[in-house]
Amino acid sequence: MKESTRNMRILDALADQAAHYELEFGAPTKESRAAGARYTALVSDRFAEKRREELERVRITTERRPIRKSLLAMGRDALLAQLAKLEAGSPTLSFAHQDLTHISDDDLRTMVDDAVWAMEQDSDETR
Amino acid sequence: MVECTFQSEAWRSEFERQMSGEVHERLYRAARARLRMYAGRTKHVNDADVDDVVMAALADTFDGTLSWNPEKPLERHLLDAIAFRVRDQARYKHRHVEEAFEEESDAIAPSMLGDAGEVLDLRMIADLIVPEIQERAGDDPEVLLLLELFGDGLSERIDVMGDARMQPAQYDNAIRRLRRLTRQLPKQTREAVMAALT
Repeated sequence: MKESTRNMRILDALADQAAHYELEFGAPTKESRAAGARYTALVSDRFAEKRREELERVRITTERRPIRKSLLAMGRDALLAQLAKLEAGSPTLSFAHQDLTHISDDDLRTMVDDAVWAMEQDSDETR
Repeated sequence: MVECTFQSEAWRSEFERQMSGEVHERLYRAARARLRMYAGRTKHVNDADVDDVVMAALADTFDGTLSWNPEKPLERHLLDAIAFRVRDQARYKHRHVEEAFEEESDAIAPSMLGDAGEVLDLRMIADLIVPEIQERAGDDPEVLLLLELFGDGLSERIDVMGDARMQPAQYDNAIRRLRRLTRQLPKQTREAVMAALT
């Protein structure tokens, strides 16, 4: 083996020893603390970027569907009747809101729309 | 079992749990000590050089080039990644140049010549430092034996101790003496290393 290759191996081993020694007996310095803070910031930024990407993906997949036109034309009484009809026709259906007196007409339309959409999905899956 | 990828939320949670400012700080010190040895313990190594190595090890871990299993210690993985990166750079360039020279190729691309310059510098540095240490260890057979075994490719404590038939205390003392020699390289050697690096 060439002498230079052996010397390179020895230099590698000396570098290993230097790193081990530093970790075992060395102490933090102003520079090492500053570097640690730089790496922490880098990692935090990368993780935050990843979380933003995932939130964006969730936002896109859960973005609101437009409310059906038939519901937009309904008044409050018709919407409440539609909800009652849906509940009666599907015993497993339940709503987060039991007291509907404070729910706006738009939110009632959303509730009916979500319930109809969920029932359509169920019926698609069972076909 | 947690998926070994940055895409997995469980992987990222475990990374964040194990990673701390203290670990980051230690990565800097280990990388700096390693790089400084390759630079003959001169002041040639700066913060940007260390940052390049540590940040590359982190990036390789995030993009999956170097896989980290969250059931294993993260600090050990990153220290190994740093060692691998520094060594592999040198080795890759080393092979690159040897192949080009051994083939006596007439068609050496300009980029290869650029690499060759760097590799020859590194080899020159090893050829400057190692014989100097060997000469200064002339009357210390244990240190000379360690250097011999390092040259054979052994570097793990347990392997070197086994082949050298040394007891742990004996090995630790020999390493301490070797370390002292690397810290006391003569001025002309360090100047020659600096000249090779600049």
